[in-house]
Amino acid sequence: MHFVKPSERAKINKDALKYKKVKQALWTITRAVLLVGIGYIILYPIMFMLTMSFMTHMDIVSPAVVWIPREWVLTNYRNAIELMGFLNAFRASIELSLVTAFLQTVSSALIGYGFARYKFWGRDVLFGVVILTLLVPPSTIVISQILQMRFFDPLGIFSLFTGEPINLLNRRMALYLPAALGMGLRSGIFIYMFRQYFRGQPKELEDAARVDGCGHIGIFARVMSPNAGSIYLTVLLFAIVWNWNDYYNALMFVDRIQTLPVALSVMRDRLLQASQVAHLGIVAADPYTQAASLMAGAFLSLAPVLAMYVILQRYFTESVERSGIVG
Amino acid sequence: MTEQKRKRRTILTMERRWGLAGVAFVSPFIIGFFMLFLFPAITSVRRAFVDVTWDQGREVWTPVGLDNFQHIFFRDPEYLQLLIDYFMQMLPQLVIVLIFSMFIALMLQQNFRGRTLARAIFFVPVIVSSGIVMNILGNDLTNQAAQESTALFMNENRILMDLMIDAQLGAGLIEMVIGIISQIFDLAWRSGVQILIFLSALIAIPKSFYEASTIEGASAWSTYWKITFPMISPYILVCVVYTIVDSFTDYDNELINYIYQNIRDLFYGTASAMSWVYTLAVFVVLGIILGLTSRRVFYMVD
Repeated sequence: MHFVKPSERAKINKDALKYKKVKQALWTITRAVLLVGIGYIILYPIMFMLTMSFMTHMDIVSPAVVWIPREWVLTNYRNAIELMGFLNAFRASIELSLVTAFLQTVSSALIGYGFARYKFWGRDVLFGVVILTLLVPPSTIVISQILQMRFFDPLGIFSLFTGEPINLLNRRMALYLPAALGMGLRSGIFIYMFRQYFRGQPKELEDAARVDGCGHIGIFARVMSPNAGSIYLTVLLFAIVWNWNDYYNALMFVDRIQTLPVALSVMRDRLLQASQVAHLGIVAADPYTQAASLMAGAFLSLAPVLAMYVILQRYFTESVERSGIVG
Repeated sequence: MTEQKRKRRTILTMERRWGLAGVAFVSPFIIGFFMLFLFPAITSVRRAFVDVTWDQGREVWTPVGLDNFQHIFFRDPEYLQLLIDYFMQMLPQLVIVLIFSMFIALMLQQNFRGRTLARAIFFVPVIVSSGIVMNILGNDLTNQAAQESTALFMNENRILMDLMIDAQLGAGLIEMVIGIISQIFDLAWRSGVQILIFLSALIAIPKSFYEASTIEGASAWSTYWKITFPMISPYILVCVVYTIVDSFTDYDNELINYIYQNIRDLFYGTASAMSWVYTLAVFVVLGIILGLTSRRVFYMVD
């Protein structure tokens, strides 16, 4: 081992420090470029949609106008609101997605809690089944489910009373019932999230409550749940957003209650027809105006969830930090 | 002796009774599973072996044996191709999505100014996961965005390009990188939840692990492979599962669209056969992935 003079050693340390600093700075720049670039790409379609929805035909065609319209118009929005039946669709979407999301959250919390805090025969197999329900594509059993909802008759109860099965299609119950029974849209993911969360809670908490005479429901509702606010909020947010954006389920089970995504696709079809037969007085058969109206409609149907996200964004990102999802 | 035995039995029944409450908690799922999943699934399997015709709004089943499967494999001009295309597209995409989201999560975990804003932006795709809206924004826009991202990283400031040429990468490799970059739009829009999962996994790693490795003088590289990667490895599978589940409701999943088209045309038997072949293929692929990764995944014992 050779001897290094103190002055030399100081120099080596200084060089190493400098090297480290340069490396740090380079990484900071790279990171900034990547984040800004990819962030731009993510926001691009939303900005595109937003600005185009305010443009006139002239502005859309004009190569001089890229982002900011020369003349802001609301005609596209007026067209979209009229063609989509926006108000009805909006009301239907709000009601369906809020109630479904609420039922889904409550049922997944109960089920996830049961899997996390109790030992019973066949538990792990049953939890495997939860994952299995996720992994079967919805299209596989959708026909059977539709027919089941059309002739709804579990264990022959309804035919016993009314003589024939009841028709649940186009009734809100067709979405509420699966949500309440842990079979809603991606309920398996929510059950998994709750299970992970409740599994991480200390056993002592439960024991203490038990000693104090708390029952099962009491422990769940008064001891475990109040601590789990963040995971409840996260699941509720996801459930609202996924149900809000859901197109297939709404189309299959409640197509006559037009939710926003369904209304949007109806509007697109109408516009396509209009371009072939220019008979709709509201929108000229001009593809640019049509596209702009579609953009307005798309933005209108996204706006509520976007607004919710902007308001609750802090809780959402914080819930990640409190490791709600991974547990 | 008998005293002890009786004591033991009472403890067991206590535990069993406690467990019974667990069954009660899980019971909505048990009911839902049998009523809304298993029962329809069984009819769906049976439907794959029959020909469905209609009589006054009710199905009439005529058993045809394996005819539906013969049809989709040998007579249907599109199905097999779509199935192969789906997996050929999904598997590479799976790998890219995993690497991308892990990388982004690593960046979003670090401390820098504007981190909250950056996180908020990267989670926007989780919120705007609306198939129909993406469809309306249309292929037109996706292409435009793909070009935009290529332009952003390539043409306008040719730094990366020059770097790659300087590094004497082969033409094939450069082409691959360009391919990935033009897909960044698609990628960023598909990876929202995966980034979220990895990020919360990263945040859950105890700080003390990193402190220990710093004291031992470990480099960033070995810290990553010895601490970070093993700790988040269980969530790779979670992300794989999510990515596959997400592809079921994807607006441009041609295979699913083809199946729905068959449903709309009332070819219920064929559609069921198609769906089940698809389901089984997904299971096989997942099983292979599980088999390949399970030995390498590290589970910390709590």
